[in-house]
Amino acid sequence: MLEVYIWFYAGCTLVIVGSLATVIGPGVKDPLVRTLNTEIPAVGLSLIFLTYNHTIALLTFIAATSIITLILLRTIVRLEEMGAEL
Amino acid sequence: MYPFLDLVTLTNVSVGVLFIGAAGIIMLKTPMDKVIMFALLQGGFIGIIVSAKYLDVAMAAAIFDPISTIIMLIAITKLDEIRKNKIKSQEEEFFA
Amino acid sequence: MILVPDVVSPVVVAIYAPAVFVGIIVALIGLFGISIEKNDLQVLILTDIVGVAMLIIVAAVGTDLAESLVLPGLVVELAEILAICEILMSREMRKTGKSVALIPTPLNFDMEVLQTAPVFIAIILVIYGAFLSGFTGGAIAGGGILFYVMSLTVRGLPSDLWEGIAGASGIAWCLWLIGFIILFVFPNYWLLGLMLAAFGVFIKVAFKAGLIGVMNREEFRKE
Repeated sequence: MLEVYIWFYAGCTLVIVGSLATVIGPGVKDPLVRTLNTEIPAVGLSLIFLTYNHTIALLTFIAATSIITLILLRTIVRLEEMGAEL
Repeated sequence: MYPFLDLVTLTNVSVGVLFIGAAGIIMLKTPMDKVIMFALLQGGFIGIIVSAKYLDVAMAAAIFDPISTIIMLIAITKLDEIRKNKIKSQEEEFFA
Repeated sequence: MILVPDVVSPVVVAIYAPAVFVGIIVALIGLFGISIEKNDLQVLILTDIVGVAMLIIVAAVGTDLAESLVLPGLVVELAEILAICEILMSREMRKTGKSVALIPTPLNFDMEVLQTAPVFIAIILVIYGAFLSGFTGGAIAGGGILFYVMSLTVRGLPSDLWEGIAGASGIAWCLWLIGFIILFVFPNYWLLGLMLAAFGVFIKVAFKAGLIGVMNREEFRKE
């Protein structure tokens, strides 16, 4: 029973710390760094899903996170190649 | 006799690895270091899923981990290339 | 606590308030970041954080209803980010007049992983996705297909796989509709209706990744 609380509060800590790091972390003016920081709240949210036994939602979220990362990184690279101001 | 040995369970160790990975991603500034720390984060996450006994979810997470890593590596290499080219062309304009 | 029925587990009731509280805090952090940021791309990345906060508050209910509400939320978030990314890129393309590759790849980049692994990984993901079916299987199989096409592009091979994919996605959507009509009109054949709906959604979501290729064709036609 203690394990459930460990998963839940670890997930909450990761979500809060990760979103703080995404907003005002070191070096977030670079959009690449900001996108990599976004992975931390995603893992925290996965832990919260795991606490509630939402298995299907957890699987879908794991797949969707990597697709979202692909889309965002592709946009950053293409914008940078066109010489946009980031 | 060794009361601390009760603390070494899969959940506790995985949470430790997870927090080390998260701190590394936040603190280190170079994107390549962040990718290495991302592997630690995913390792802790898979450990926690295994301690919850969802082995099918753990399989999916373990397959999607290298996919995200390769995507990040490609993007970082390409961005490095673009930025170096940009600096080089600026220097050439400056000398000319 | 009168509103909570007895069948709800006491653990879920005990962690309901902290979960909602964490959700509200994360939403405030994300909206604060959006309010102080000027650049469009940075705001788009921060939208991800607000989506996470929404999913926490939905998941805190802890029942099957929450699980079925999380899936549409995820799909809507994915489609929203994809659409806004395309808008940003085509606006920049119109402004500067340059055209860049569809999936930009570095010049000297040969990893051995990209030559051996992708076929194996894609086959495993597609089979596992077909086993799961529905939204979940579609997302997993779509990830596998996208990774395979990306590895082809990085190795410099032609990857014009996307020609008929918009049509296949539409036909699969029709299968989903037919499945639901069977469920309501002929309730005796519920198993057929269920299977049609599940695999229709599976094919549609798996090919939704092909939206990237469709956008590319539109850009070509414009020039």
